[in-house]
Amino acid sequence: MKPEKFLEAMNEIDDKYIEEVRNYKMKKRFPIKRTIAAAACAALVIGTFPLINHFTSTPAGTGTTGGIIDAGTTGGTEDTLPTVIKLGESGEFTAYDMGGHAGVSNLNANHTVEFSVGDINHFVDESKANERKIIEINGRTWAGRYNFSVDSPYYGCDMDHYSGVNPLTWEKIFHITYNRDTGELIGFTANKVCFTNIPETPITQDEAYEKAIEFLNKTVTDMENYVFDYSIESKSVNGYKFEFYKSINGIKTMETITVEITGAGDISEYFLRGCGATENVDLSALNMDALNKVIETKVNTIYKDTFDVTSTSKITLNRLEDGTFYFYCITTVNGRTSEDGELQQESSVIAVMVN
Amino acid sequence: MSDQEIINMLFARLEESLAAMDAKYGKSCRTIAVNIVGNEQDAEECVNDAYLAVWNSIPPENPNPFAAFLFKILRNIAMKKHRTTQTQKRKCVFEELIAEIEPFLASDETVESQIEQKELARMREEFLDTLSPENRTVFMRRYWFSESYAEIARAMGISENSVSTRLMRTREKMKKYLNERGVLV
Repeated sequence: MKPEKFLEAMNEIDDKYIEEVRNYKMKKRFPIKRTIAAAACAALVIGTFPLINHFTSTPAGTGTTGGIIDAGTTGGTEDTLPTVIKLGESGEFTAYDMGGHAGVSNLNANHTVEFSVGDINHFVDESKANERKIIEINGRTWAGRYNFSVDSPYYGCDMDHYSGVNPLTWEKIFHITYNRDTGELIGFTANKVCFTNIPETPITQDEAYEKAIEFLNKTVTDMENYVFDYSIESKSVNGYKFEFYKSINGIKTMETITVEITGAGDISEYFLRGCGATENVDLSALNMDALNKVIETKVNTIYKDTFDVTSTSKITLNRLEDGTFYFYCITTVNGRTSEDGELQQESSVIAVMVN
Repeated sequence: MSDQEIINMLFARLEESLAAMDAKYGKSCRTIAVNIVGNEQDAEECVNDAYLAVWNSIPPENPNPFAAFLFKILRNIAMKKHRTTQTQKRKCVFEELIAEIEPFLASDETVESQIEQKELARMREEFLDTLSPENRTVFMRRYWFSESYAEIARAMGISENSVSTRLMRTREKMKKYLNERGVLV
Protein backbone atom coordinates (compact mmCIF):
# COMPACT_ATOMS: atom_id res chain seq x y z
CA MET A 1 0.00 0.00 0.00
CA LYS A 2 1.34 3.41 -0.85
CA PRO A 3 1.69 5.74 2.10
CA GLU A 4 -0.18 8.47 0.22
CA LYS A 5 -3.12 6.10 -0.10
CA PHE A 6 -2.96 5.21 3.54
CA LEU A 7 -2.98 8.85 4.56
CA GLU A 8 -5.76 9.67 2.12
CA ALA A 9 -7.79 6.73 3.38
CA MET A 10 -7.49 8.16 6.86
CA ASN A 11 -10.02 10.71 5.67
CA GLU A 12 -12.71 8.03 5.76
CA ILE A 13 -12.33 7.70 9.47
CA ASP A 14 -15.31 8.17 11.72
CA ASP A 15 -15.98 11.75 12.80
CA LYS A 16 -15.81 10.75 16.44
CA TYR A 17 -12.00 10.44 16.27
CA ILE A 18 -11.66 13.95 14.88
CA GLU A 19 -14.01 15.27 17.49
CA GLU A 20 -12.03 13.46 20.17
CA VAL A 21 -8.89 15.35 19.21
CA ARG A 22 -10.76 18.63 19.27
CA ASN A 23 -12.50 17.98 22.54
CA TYR A 24 -9.87 16.01 24.38
CA LYS A 25 -9.77 17.19 27.95
CA MET A 26 -7.17 16.68 30.58
CA LYS A 27 -8.01 15.58 34.03
CA LYS A 28 -8.55 18.44 36.39
CA ARG A 29 -5.74 19.72 38.50
CA PHE A 30 -5.09 17.81 41.66
CA PRO A 31 -4.23 20.13 44.52
CA ILE A 32 -0.95 19.08 45.98
CA LYS A 33 -0.45 19.80 49.59
CA ARG A 34 2.96 20.10 51.06
CA THR A 35 2.23 17.33 53.49
CA ILE A 36 1.15 14.96 50.76
CA ALA A 37 4.32 15.63 48.83
CA ALA A 38 6.39 15.14 51.91
CA ALA A 39 4.52 11.98 52.73
CA ALA A 40 5.10 10.76 49.21
CA CYS A 41 8.81 11.34 49.52
CA ALA A 42 8.92 9.65 52.86
CA ALA A 43 6.89 6.73 51.61
CA LEU A 44 9.28 6.28 48.75
CA VAL A 45 12.19 5.97 51.07
CA ILE A 46 10.61 3.80 53.67
CA GLY A 47 9.27 1.49 51.05
CA THR A 48 12.57 1.05 49.34
CA PHE A 49 14.70 0.17 52.30
CA PRO A 50 13.42 -3.36 52.63
CA LEU A 51 14.27 -3.78 48.97
CA ILE A 52 17.81 -2.66 49.53
CA ASN A 53 18.09 -5.25 52.20
CA HIS A 54 16.60 -7.78 49.89
CA PHE A 55 19.00 -7.15 47.06
CA THR A 56 22.18 -6.51 48.93
CA SER A 57 24.01 -8.72 51.33
CA THR A 58 24.94 -5.89 53.66
CA PRO A 59 22.44 -4.04 55.79
CA ALA A 60 21.32 -0.69 54.47
CA GLY A 61 23.27 1.63 56.69
CA THR A 62 21.47 4.67 55.43
CA GLY A 63 18.27 3.38 56.86
CA THR A 64 19.60 3.43 60.34
CA THR A 65 20.29 7.14 60.27
CA GLY A 66 16.69 8.11 60.04
CA GLY A 67 16.05 7.35 56.41
CA ILE A 68 16.35 9.51 53.36
CA ILE A 69 13.63 11.82 54.51
CA ASP A 70 13.73 13.44 57.86
CA ALA A 71 10.04 13.17 58.48
CA GLY A 72 10.30 15.52 61.42
CA THR A 73 11.21 18.46 59.25
CA THR A 74 8.53 17.88 56.66
CA GLY A 75 5.63 17.22 58.94
CA GLY A 76 5.06 13.73 57.58
CA THR A 77 4.06 11.00 59.96
CA GLU A 78 3.65 7.31 59.57
CA ASP A 79 -0.07 7.72 59.91
CA THR A 80 -0.26 9.70 56.69
CA LEU A 81 1.92 7.40 54.63
CA PRO A 82 0.64 4.88 52.13
CA THR A 83 1.51 1.40 53.25
CA VAL A 84 2.49 0.09 49.86
CA ILE A 85 4.74 1.56 47.26
CA LYS A 86 3.77 0.73 43.75
CA LEU A 87 5.82 1.00 40.65
CA GLY A 88 3.56 0.76 37.67
CA GLU A 89 1.70 -2.50 37.80
CA SER A 90 4.38 -4.47 39.49
CA GLY A 91 4.08 -2.90 42.87
CA GLU A 92 7.82 -3.14 43.23
CA PHE A 93 10.78 -0.92 42.91
CA THR A 94 12.63 -2.14 39.89
CA ALA A 95 14.63 -1.16 36.87
CA TYR A 96 13.01 -1.18 33.49
CA ASP A 97 13.92 -2.87 30.29
CA MET A 98 17.34 -2.26 28.89
CA GLY A 99 16.37 -2.60 25.23
CA GLY A 100 16.50 -0.09 22.46
CA HIS A 101 13.13 1.35 23.32
CA ALA A 102 13.99 2.16 26.86
CA GLY A 103 13.38 5.57 28.21
CA VAL A 104 10.89 7.25 30.39
CA SER A 105 8.13 6.08 28.14
CA ASN A 106 8.80 2.53 29.12
CA LEU A 107 6.50 3.02 31.99
CA ASN A 108 3.79 3.87 29.56
CA ALA A 109 4.30 1.00 27.18
CA ASN A 110 5.02 -1.78 29.59
CA HIS A 111 3.12 -0.86 32.66
CA THR A 112 0.09 1.09 31.55
CA VAL A 113 1.07 3.97 33.74
CA GLU A 114 0.09 7.12 31.94
CA PHE A 115 2.48 9.72 33.19
CA SER A 116 2.23 12.04 30.27
CA VAL A 117 0.12 15.10 30.55
CA GLY A 118 -2.20 14.32 27.71
CA ASP A 119 -3.82 17.00 25.71
CA ILE A 120 -4.33 20.53 26.73
CA ASN A 121 -7.96 21.27 27.06
CA HIS A 122 -8.46 24.45 25.18
CA PHE A 123 -11.73 26.09 24.59
CA VAL A 124 -12.96 29.29 23.10
CA ASP A 125 -13.91 31.85 25.67
CA GLU A 126 -16.49 33.68 23.66
CA SER A 127 -16.68 36.60 26.05
CA LYS A 128 -13.06 37.40 25.26
CA ALA A 129 -13.19 36.58 21.58
CA ASN A 130 -12.66 40.16 20.47
CA GLU A 131 -10.10 41.07 23.07
CA ARG A 132 -6.99 42.75 21.75
CA LYS A 133 -3.73 43.25 23.53
CA ILE A 134 -0.55 45.07 22.58
CA ILE A 135 2.32 42.68 23.04
CA GLU A 136 6.00 43.50 23.04
CA ILE A 137 8.46 40.81 22.11
CA ASN A 138 12.07 41.35 21.13
CA GLY A 139 11.56 45.08 21.37
CA ARG A 140 8.86 45.05 18.72
CA THR A 141 5.18 45.65 19.08
CA TRP A 142 2.56 43.15 18.05
CA ALA A 143 -1.19 43.47 17.95
CA GLY A 144 -2.31 40.46 19.94
CA ARG A 145 -5.66 38.85 19.38
CA TYR A 146 -7.19 36.63 22.02
CA ASN A 147 -7.40 33.04 20.84
CA PHE A 148 -8.43 30.82 23.68
CA SER A 149 -7.76 29.98 27.26
CA VAL A 150 -6.11 26.89 28.56
CA ASP A 151 -7.05 25.23 31.79
CA SER A 152 -3.98 23.20 32.33
CA PRO A 153 -3.10 21.19 35.41
CA TYR A 154 0.33 20.46 34.05
CA TYR A 155 1.38 24.06 33.74
CA GLY A 156 0.10 24.80 37.16
CA CYS A 157 -1.81 27.83 35.98
CA ASP A 158 -4.63 28.89 33.71
CA MET A 159 -3.36 30.52 30.61
CA ASP A 160 -4.61 32.93 27.97
CA HIS A 161 -3.43 32.46 24.42
CA TYR A 162 -2.96 35.24 21.90
CA SER A 163 -1.70 35.43 18.38
CA GLY A 164 0.37 38.49 17.53
CA VAL A 165 0.44 40.32 14.22
CA ASN A 166 2.71 43.14 13.20
CA PRO A 167 0.26 45.42 11.39
CA LEU A 168 3.00 46.89 9.22
CA THR A 169 4.43 43.68 7.84
CA TRP A 170 1.80 41.07 8.71
CA GLU A 171 4.43 38.91 10.30
CA LYS A 172 2.90 36.65 12.90
CA ILE A 173 3.78 35.32 16.28
CA PHE A 174 1.79 32.34 17.46
CA HIS A 175 0.92 30.85 20.80
CA ILE A 176 1.72 33.86 22.90
CA THR A 177 0.72 32.54 26.25
CA TYR A 178 0.26 34.33 29.55
CA ASN A 179 -0.50 33.16 33.02
CA ARG A 180 -3.99 34.49 33.47
CA ASP A 181 -3.48 35.28 37.15
CA THR A 182 -0.03 36.83 37.17
CA GLY A 183 0.39 38.03 33.59
CA GLU A 184 3.69 36.14 33.41
CA LEU A 185 4.78 35.27 29.88
CA ILE A 186 4.63 31.48 29.50
CA GLY A 187 5.75 31.23 25.93
CA PHE A 188 5.49 32.12 22.29
CA THR A 189 6.47 30.81 18.90
CA ALA A 190 7.50 33.13 16.11
CA ASN A 191 8.00 32.31 12.52
CA LYS A 192 11.70 32.64 11.92
CA VAL A 193 11.13 35.04 9.06
CA CYS A 194 10.00 37.49 11.72
CA PHE A 195 12.48 39.87 13.26
CA THR A 196 15.89 40.52 11.85
CA ASN A 197 17.01 38.86 8.63
CA ILE A 198 19.53 36.17 9.34
CA PRO A 199 22.98 37.33 8.22
CA GLU A 200 25.22 35.29 5.95
CA THR A 201 27.37 34.49 8.94
CA PRO A 202 24.98 33.68 11.75
CA ILE A 203 25.98 34.22 15.35
CA THR A 204 27.88 31.45 17.11
CA GLN A 205 26.36 29.09 19.63
CA ASP A 206 28.14 30.87 22.48
CA GLU A 207 26.77 34.22 21.37
CA ALA A 208 23.30 32.69 21.04
CA TYR A 209 23.59 31.28 24.56
CA GLU A 210 24.45 34.73 25.89
CA LYS A 211 21.40 36.15 24.13
CA ALA A 212 19.25 33.45 25.63
CA ILE A 213 20.53 34.13 29.14
CA GLU A 214 20.04 37.85 28.70
CA PHE A 215 16.43 37.30 27.64
CA LEU A 216 15.72 34.75 30.37
CA ASN A 217 17.16 36.91 33.13
CA LYS A 218 14.72 39.61 32.13
CA THR A 219 11.75 37.29 31.63
CA VAL A 220 11.98 34.56 34.27
CA THR A 221 11.70 35.71 37.84
CA ASP A 222 13.58 32.79 39.43
CA MET A 223 16.11 32.08 36.71
CA GLU A 224 18.75 31.41 39.35
CA ASN A 225 16.99 28.12 40.10
CA TYR A 226 17.31 26.88 36.53
CA VAL A 227 20.21 24.81 35.27
CA PHE A 228 21.35 24.65 31.67
CA ASP A 229 20.66 21.17 30.31
CA TYR A 230 21.49 20.90 26.66
CA SER A 231 21.55 22.74 23.37
CA ILE A 232 20.63 21.81 19.83
CA GLU A 233 21.75 23.48 16.67
CA SER A 234 18.74 23.80 14.43
CA LYS A 235 18.96 21.61 11.38
CA SER A 236 16.61 23.53 9.13
CA VAL A 237 17.21 27.16 9.94
CA ASN A 238 20.25 28.90 11.32
CA GLY A 239 19.46 28.94 14.97
CA TYR A 240 19.98 27.34 18.33
CA LYS A 241 17.75 25.81 20.94
CA PHE A 242 18.63 25.75 24.62
CA GLU A 243 16.89 23.89 27.38
CA PHE A 244 17.04 24.54 31.08
CA TYR A 245 15.47 22.69 33.98
CA LYS A 246 14.54 23.83 37.42
CA SER A 247 16.64 22.21 40.05
CA ILE A 248 15.50 21.72 43.61
CA ASN A 249 18.17 20.55 45.99
CA GLY A 250 20.09 19.08 43.08
CA ILE A 251 17.08 17.20 41.77
CA LYS A 252 16.05 17.79 38.20
CA THR A 253 12.36 18.64 37.95
CA MET A 254 9.89 18.64 35.12
CA GLU A 255 9.80 22.42 35.09
CA THR A 256 11.76 23.33 32.00
CA ILE A 257 12.45 26.32 29.80
CA THR A 258 13.08 26.08 26.10
CA VAL A 259 14.38 29.06 24.22
CA GLU A 260 15.31 29.30 20.58
CA ILE A 261 17.59 31.97 19.15
CA THR A 262 17.76 32.75 15.45
CA GLY A 263 21.04 33.19 13.64
CA ALA A 264 20.45 36.92 13.96
CA GLY A 265 20.16 36.72 17.74
CA ASP A 266 16.39 37.16 18.05
CA ILE A 267 14.27 34.98 20.29
CA SER A 268 12.07 32.92 18.00
CA GLU A 269 10.61 30.56 20.56
CA TYR A 270 10.29 30.58 24.29
CA PHE A 271 8.30 28.23 26.44
CA LEU A 272 7.96 27.32 30.07
CA ARG A 273 6.83 23.76 30.61
CA GLY A 274 5.45 22.39 33.82
CA CYS A 275 5.70 25.81 35.38
CA GLY A 276 4.49 25.92 38.94
CA ALA A 277 4.10 22.16 39.07
CA THR A 278 6.61 21.75 41.87
CA GLU A 279 5.79 24.84 43.83
CA ASN A 280 4.34 22.87 46.72
CA VAL A 281 7.00 20.24 46.75
CA ASP A 282 9.49 20.27 49.55
CA LEU A 283 12.51 18.35 48.42
CA SER A 284 14.90 20.07 50.75
CA ALA A 285 14.58 17.25 53.23
CA LEU A 286 15.49 14.62 50.71
CA ASN A 287 18.82 12.94 51.24
CA MET A 288 20.17 12.70 47.72
CA ASP A 289 23.17 10.60 48.64
CA ALA A 290 20.94 7.96 50.12
CA LEU A 291 18.53 8.03 47.19
CA ASN A 292 21.41 7.76 44.76
CA LYS A 293 22.69 4.80 46.68
CA VAL A 294 19.34 3.07 46.47
CA ILE A 295 19.33 3.39 42.71
CA GLU A 296 22.97 2.51 42.26
CA THR A 297 22.55 -0.58 44.38
CA LYS A 298 19.55 -1.57 42.39
CA VAL A 299 21.27 -1.18 39.04
CA ASN A 300 24.28 -3.17 40.09
CA THR A 301 22.26 -5.89 41.72
CA ILE A 302 19.92 -6.54 38.85
CA TYR A 303 22.05 -6.03 35.81
CA LYS A 304 25.64 -6.44 36.82
CA ASP A 305 26.08 -9.85 35.26
CA THR A 306 24.03 -9.22 32.17
CA PHE A 307 24.69 -5.67 31.09
CA ASP A 308 27.48 -3.21 31.37
CA VAL A 309 25.75 -0.40 33.18
CA THR A 310 28.27 2.35 33.18
CA SER A 311 26.66 5.35 34.74
CA THR A 312 23.54 6.83 36.12
CA SER A 313 22.10 10.18 35.27
CA LYS A 314 20.59 12.67 37.63
CA ILE A 315 17.52 11.69 39.53
CA THR A 316 14.56 13.51 38.12
CA LEU A 317 11.26 14.36 39.65
CA ASN A 318 8.13 14.09 37.56
CA ARG A 319 4.45 14.11 38.14
CA LEU A 320 1.46 12.20 36.87
CA GLU A 321 -1.72 13.82 35.70
CA ASP A 322 -3.39 13.06 38.97
CA GLY A 323 -0.69 14.88 40.87
CA THR A 324 1.26 11.83 41.99
CA PHE A 325 5.00 12.37 42.03
CA TYR A 326 7.66 9.92 41.12
CA PHE A 327 11.39 9.97 40.69
CA TYR A 328 13.22 8.41 37.87
CA CYS A 329 16.75 7.87 36.87
CA ILE A 330 18.12 7.00 33.45
CA THR A 331 21.16 4.79 33.10
CA THR A 332 23.40 4.27 30.14
CA VAL A 333 23.86 0.71 29.04
CA ASN A 334 26.82 -0.96 27.42
CA GLY A 335 28.58 2.36 27.32
CA ARG A 336 26.28 3.73 24.66
CA THR A 337 24.21 6.85 24.63
CA SER A 338 21.75 7.93 22.04
CA GLU A 339 22.77 10.04 19.08
CA ASP A 340 21.31 13.15 20.54
CA GLY A 341 22.98 12.47 23.86
CA GLU A 342 19.69 12.55 25.69
CA LEU A 343 19.90 8.99 26.88
CA GLN A 344 16.56 8.14 25.34
CA GLN A 345 17.77 5.08 23.52
CA GLU A 346 19.98 2.28 24.73
CA SER A 347 19.22 3.35 28.21
CA SER A 348 17.07 2.24 31.04
CA VAL A 349 14.80 3.92 33.45
CA ILE A 350 14.67 3.33 37.12
CA ALA A 351 11.49 4.71 38.48
CA VAL A 352 10.22 4.98 41.97
CA MET A 353 6.56 5.69 42.19
CA VAL A 354 4.19 6.37 44.96
CA ASN A 355 0.55 5.68 44.37
CA MET B 1 -20.97 31.41 17.54
CA SER B 2 -22.20 27.86 17.63
CA ASP B 3 -21.85 25.44 14.74
CA GLN B 4 -25.62 25.26 14.43
CA GLU B 5 -25.82 29.03 14.02
CA ILE B 6 -23.25 28.87 11.23
CA ILE B 7 -25.26 26.12 9.56
CA ASN B 8 -28.44 28.16 9.93
CA MET B 9 -26.71 31.08 8.23
CA LEU B 10 -25.61 28.77 5.42
CA PHE B 11 -29.16 27.57 5.01
CA ALA B 12 -30.26 31.21 4.86
CA ARG B 13 -27.57 31.75 2.19
CA LEU B 14 -25.96 34.56 4.20
CA GLU B 15 -22.42 35.31 3.06
CA GLU B 16 -21.57 36.27 6.64
CA SER B 17 -21.57 32.55 7.34
CA LEU B 18 -18.20 32.32 5.56
CA ALA B 19 -16.71 35.00 7.78
CA ALA B 20 -18.15 33.26 10.82
CA MET B 21 -16.68 29.96 9.68
CA ASP B 22 -13.31 31.61 9.14
CA ALA B 23 -13.37 33.32 12.51
CA LYS B 24 -14.05 30.07 14.28
CA TYR B 25 -12.09 27.55 12.25
CA GLY B 26 -9.78 29.61 10.00
CA LYS B 27 -6.69 29.10 12.13
CA SER B 28 -7.13 25.35 12.42
CA CYS B 29 -7.91 25.10 8.70
CA ARG B 30 -4.78 27.01 7.69
CA THR B 31 -2.63 24.85 9.93
CA ILE B 32 -4.03 21.66 8.45
CA ALA B 33 -3.63 22.96 4.89
CA VAL B 34 -0.11 24.35 5.35
CA ASN B 35 1.08 21.07 6.83
CA ILE B 36 -0.17 19.21 3.78
CA VAL B 37 0.63 21.54 0.89
CA GLY B 38 3.73 23.15 2.40
CA ASN B 39 3.19 26.83 1.73
CA GLU B 40 0.82 29.49 2.89
CA GLN B 41 -0.35 30.68 -0.51
CA ASP B 42 -1.56 27.26 -1.64
CA ALA B 43 -2.95 26.63 1.82
CA GLU B 44 -5.03 29.80 1.66
CA GLU B 45 -6.36 28.68 -1.70
CA CYS B 46 -7.31 25.29 -0.26
CA VAL B 47 -9.06 26.87 2.69
CA ASN B 48 -11.06 29.15 0.41
CA ASP B 49 -11.96 26.18 -1.80
CA ALA B 50 -13.08 24.28 1.27
CA TYR B 51 -15.30 27.16 2.37
CA LEU B 52 -16.80 27.26 -1.11
CA ALA B 53 -17.39 23.50 -1.04
CA VAL B 54 -19.12 23.85 2.32
CA TRP B 55 -21.21 26.71 0.93
CA ASN B 56 -22.22 24.51 -2.00
CA SER B 57 -23.03 21.45 0.06
CA ILE B 58 -24.97 23.05 2.92
CA PRO B 59 -27.85 22.93 2.16
CA PRO B 60 -28.89 20.21 1.51
CA GLU B 61 -26.32 18.70 3.90
CA ASN B 62 -26.79 19.39 7.58
CA PRO B 63 -23.62 17.93 9.05
CA ASN B 64 -23.06 17.12 12.67
CA PRO B 65 -20.33 17.52 13.80
CA PHE B 66 -19.70 20.49 11.56
CA ALA B 67 -15.96 20.86 12.25
CA ALA B 68 -15.14 17.31 11.19
CA PHE B 69 -17.18 17.86 8.02
CA LEU B 70 -15.24 21.03 7.19
CA PHE B 71 -11.85 19.52 8.07
CA LYS B 72 -12.49 16.42 5.95
CA ILE B 73 -13.39 18.51 2.91
CA LEU B 74 -10.33 20.66 3.46
CA ARG B 75 -8.04 17.67 3.92
CA ASN B 76 -9.28 16.16 0.66
CA ILE B 77 -8.74 19.40 -1.24
CA ALA B 78 -5.28 19.91 0.27
CA MET B 79 -4.28 16.37 -0.65
CA LYS B 80 -5.38 16.89 -4.23
CA LYS B 81 -3.38 20.09 -4.27
CA HIS B 82 -0.41 18.24 -2.83
CA ARG B 83 -0.62 15.66 -5.61
CA THR B 84 -0.64 18.30 -8.34
CA THR B 85 2.33 20.15 -6.89
CA GLN B 86 4.20 17.05 -5.82
CA THR B 87 6.77 17.31 -8.55
CA GLN B 88 8.04 20.50 -7.03
CA LYS B 89 8.94 18.50 -3.93
CA ARG B 90 8.00 21.16 -1.50
CA LYS B 91 9.14 20.70 2.04
CA CYS B 92 6.10 20.05 4.16
CA VAL B 93 4.96 17.91 7.04
CA PHE B 94 2.97 15.70 4.70
CA GLU B 95 6.16 14.62 2.90
CA GLU B 96 7.59 13.67 6.26
CA LEU B 97 4.49 11.62 7.01
CA ILE B 98 4.81 9.70 3.77
CA ALA B 99 8.42 8.78 4.50
CA GLU B 100 7.58 7.96 8.08
CA ILE B 101 4.65 5.64 7.46
CA GLU B 102 6.06 3.83 4.42
CA PRO B 103 8.12 1.18 6.25
CA PHE B 104 5.01 0.11 8.12
CA LEU B 105 2.91 -0.57 5.05
CA ALA B 106 2.93 -3.52 2.74
CA SER B 107 4.63 -2.98 -0.58
CA ASP B 108 2.17 -5.35 -2.24
CA GLU B 109 0.00 -3.20 -4.46
CA THR B 110 -2.71 -5.85 -4.63
CA VAL B 111 -3.47 -5.62 -0.96
CA GLU B 112 -6.09 -2.99 -1.64
CA SER B 113 -7.90 -5.19 -4.07
CA GLN B 114 -7.84 -8.13 -1.70
CA ILE B 115 -9.42 -6.32 1.12
CA GLU B 116 -12.25 -3.97 0.66
CA GLN B 117 -11.61 -0.41 1.64
CA LYS B 118 -14.50 -0.49 4.04
CA GLU B 119 -13.06 -3.48 5.81
CA LEU B 120 -9.72 -1.71 6.05
CA ALA B 121 -11.35 1.38 7.47
CA ARG B 122 -13.14 -0.74 10.04
CA MET B 123 -9.90 -2.40 11.09
CA ARG B 124 -8.19 0.94 11.34
CA GLU B 125 -10.90 2.18 13.62
CA GLU B 126 -10.72 -0.98 15.68
CA PHE B 127 -7.00 -0.40 16.01
CA LEU B 128 -7.54 3.19 17.09
CA ASP B 129 -9.91 1.92 19.76
CA THR B 130 -7.09 -0.14 21.26
CA LEU B 131 -5.04 3.00 21.95
CA SER B 132 -5.24 5.13 25.04
CA PRO B 133 -6.98 8.48 24.46
CA GLU B 134 -3.62 10.27 24.77
CA ASN B 135 -1.85 8.05 22.26
CA ARG B 136 -4.86 8.14 19.92
CA THR B 137 -4.79 11.93 20.07
CA VAL B 138 -1.06 11.99 19.27
CA PHE B 139 -1.61 9.57 16.37
CA MET B 140 -4.54 11.54 14.98
CA ARG B 141 -2.76 14.87 15.34
CA ARG B 142 0.13 13.43 13.35
CA TYR B 143 -1.61 11.40 10.65
CA TRP B 144 -4.91 13.15 10.31
CA PHE B 145 -4.11 16.75 11.14
CA SER B 146 -0.56 16.39 9.71
CA GLU B 147 0.95 18.26 12.64
CA SER B 148 4.69 18.42 13.23
CA TYR B 149 6.26 16.88 16.32
CA ALA B 150 6.81 20.36 17.70
CA GLU B 151 3.16 21.31 17.21
CA ILE B 152 1.94 18.14 18.88
CA ALA B 153 4.36 18.54 21.74
CA ARG B 154 3.28 22.10 22.30
CA ALA B 155 -0.41 21.35 22.07
CA MET B 156 -0.19 18.44 24.47
CA GLY B 157 2.41 19.77 26.86
CA ILE B 158 4.81 16.89 26.33
CA SER B 159 8.31 16.78 24.91
CA GLU B 160 9.05 16.17 21.25
CA ASN B 161 10.90 13.07 22.32
CA SER B 162 7.79 11.79 23.98
CA VAL B 163 5.79 12.46 20.82
CA SER B 164 8.39 10.63 18.78
CA THR B 165 8.46 7.65 21.11
CA ARG B 166 4.69 7.38 21.28
CA LEU B 167 4.34 7.52 17.51
CA MET B 168 7.07 4.97 16.99
CA ARG B 169 5.34 2.55 19.35
CA THR B 170 1.95 3.19 17.82
CA ARG B 171 3.26 2.53 14.31
CA GLU B 172 4.84 -0.70 15.46
CA LYS B 173 1.62 -1.65 17.18
CA MET B 174 -0.40 -0.81 14.09
CA LYS B 175 1.86 -2.89 11.90
CA LYS B 176 1.49 -5.84 14.22
CA TYR B 177 -2.25 -5.35 14.53
CA LEU B 178 -2.91 -5.16 10.80
CA ASN B 179 -0.37 -7.86 10.06
CA GLU B 180 -2.18 -10.29 12.35
CA ARG B 181 -5.30 -9.62 10.32
CA GLY B 182 -3.54 -10.27 7.06
CA VAL B 183 -3.60 -6.71 5.85
CA LEU B 184 0.04 -5.85 5.89
CA VAL B 185 3.24 -7.78 5.44
